[in-house]
Amino acid sequence: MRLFWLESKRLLLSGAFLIYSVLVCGFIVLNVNPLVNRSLATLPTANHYDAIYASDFRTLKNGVMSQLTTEYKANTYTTYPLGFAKTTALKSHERASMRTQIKALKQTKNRHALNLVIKRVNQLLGGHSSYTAANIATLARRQMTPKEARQDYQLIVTRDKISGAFARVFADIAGLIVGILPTVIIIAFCDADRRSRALATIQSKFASSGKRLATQYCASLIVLLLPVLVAGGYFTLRVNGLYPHQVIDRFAFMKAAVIWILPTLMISSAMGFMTYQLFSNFVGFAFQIGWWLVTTMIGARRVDGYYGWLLMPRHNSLHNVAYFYTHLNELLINRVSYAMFALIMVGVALLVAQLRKGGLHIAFSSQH
Amino acid sequence: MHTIEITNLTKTYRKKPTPALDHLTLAVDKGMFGLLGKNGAGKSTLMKILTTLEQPTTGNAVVCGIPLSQPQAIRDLIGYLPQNFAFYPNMTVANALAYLATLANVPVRAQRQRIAQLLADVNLTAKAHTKVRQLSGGMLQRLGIAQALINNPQVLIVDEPTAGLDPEERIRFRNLLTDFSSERTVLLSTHIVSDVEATTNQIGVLDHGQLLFTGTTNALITAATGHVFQALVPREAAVQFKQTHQISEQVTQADQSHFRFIAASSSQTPVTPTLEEAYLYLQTQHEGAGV
Repeated sequence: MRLFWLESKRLLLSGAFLIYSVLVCGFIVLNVNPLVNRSLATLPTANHYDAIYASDFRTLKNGVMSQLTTEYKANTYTTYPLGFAKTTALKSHERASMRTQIKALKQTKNRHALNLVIKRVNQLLGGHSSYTAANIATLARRQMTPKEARQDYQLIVTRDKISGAFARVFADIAGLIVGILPTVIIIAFCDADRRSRALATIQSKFASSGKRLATQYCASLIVLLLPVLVAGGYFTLRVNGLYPHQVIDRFAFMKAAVIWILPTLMISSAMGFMTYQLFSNFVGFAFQIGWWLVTTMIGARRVDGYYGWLLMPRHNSLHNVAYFYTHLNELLINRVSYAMFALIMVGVALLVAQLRKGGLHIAFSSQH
Repeated sequence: MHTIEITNLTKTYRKKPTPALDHLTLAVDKGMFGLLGKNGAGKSTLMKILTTLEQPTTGNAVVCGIPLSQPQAIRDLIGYLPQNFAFYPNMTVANALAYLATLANVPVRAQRQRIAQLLADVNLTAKAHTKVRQLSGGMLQRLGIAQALINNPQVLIVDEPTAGLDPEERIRFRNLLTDFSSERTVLLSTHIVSDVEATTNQIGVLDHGQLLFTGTTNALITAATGHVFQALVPREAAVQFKQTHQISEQVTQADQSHFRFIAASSSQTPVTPTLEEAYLYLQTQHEGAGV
């Protein structure tokens, strides 16, 4: 416990943490504040309903049909390998096949048949297109119906208790910055041993490298989550002030921080520890930038509700609440999985630390 | 039983044709032991192996009866001041010691008293709340020795501790080490002969990973007796004299140069060797033997 406190203090008092705190708090506050100013206390009036990604067969079929016909006529299809948009043109015999699929699409009567057709379309395009069971929702964006808007409002008031809706946006925004910055902070933190020539002194002490690294990891999670918690506390107070006569979930932002954001932080921090143990330099930050970029690009296609296997699940909307509660299990599985994966990464870091200091060090170092 | 027993220890590095340590066998008892050797002789490698920071290629060493295969048990018994000691620059002296005390498994309740005592011992009490980066070279070395003693070790291993210190700090630091050696084993590694001369009479001389000598300083001096000479040479002949002799000292006054030099034999007047000359004579013999 003493070591945990000392490591936390060391990170807290570092210049890197100060910069991190300013960036994290600034990024969250600047991006979430405009949304917090929107009122959720009353039912939206007609023509002011938010847009959603529909899931009903008719809207999905129409959306796919409209998009595919347009792309077919122009013979320019957009695919998204690793989340990055890429245009593709089909050869004449492939166009003929696509024409057949469009005809088949017109004949579909249910979601199952629709899925079979879009699967073939996706294959024709070489994969990574919008024509997959998971992605076609992006083609079915429309304004909510009055009934859907009422249901959305009811969920915000009763289940979200107002603050939950803001907390989702808060988690979405915070995830974006927590998904990348901690890696470089942690690498700089680890590299301080080398920069300050403290490594030999530290390694000659009783405590094992593994114990120190595990303690540092735990300390990093608490310390690097602090700016997120501070921002969450600020928004809890703001929402409380804006809705004095409503029932508010006062823990909504804290729950979002721990359940939604912490697993992302666990990964980006673990990436720092693991890659520093492996390479003893800042190359891990390049890996994390790559991971972050791919996740951001994939998530950018459905920012108002997309969880799947994204490192930073997206929900950049105060609405689309039904989607959130329908996919809550998916989100929780995502978060638990990433938390476990982070622990595996830390396990690898511990193993490498022990190998470098212990017996198999010989096999990995330049010495024999 | 010796405090440190090193048996046939060899350390080779990939891409380096000669071993850093070559079948080294050495025993060190309680008190101060000086390990002399020029840069690259293998001293730091030996220190790192004894502190379990590196693994030997072959051979073994036992520290207070514990083999190198039990690194954590060894680290619990030793204190180590590495070459060019430094620490987190933004930490205060007291916090740095508290941090290292925790790593050294010193009970939290005992830390405050222990740190206060060590700061007093190394005369750094007034600097307890000063940041490490604000310490002078001598103060930093004293912090280094304080951290090495934080777990009250049975064996203190110090690697080139006086390098870069001014004469006053060097003397103060040597005295400090001598004080600590009364209660424990201190292994002092250095290339500065005067450091050893001022602190101990038990020495080992290392060169190219091999132990050239182990014993008392007097024995080393005795071995060189009859091989150190002095000569008074006219100034105009001094250049040629230097080219044909291994000079250990030169003092020029008026039109004459007074030389002390090392040779197997000479017609000049033999003199009693200093420890430094005895050390040079040993190195010369070793190199002359084709090593």
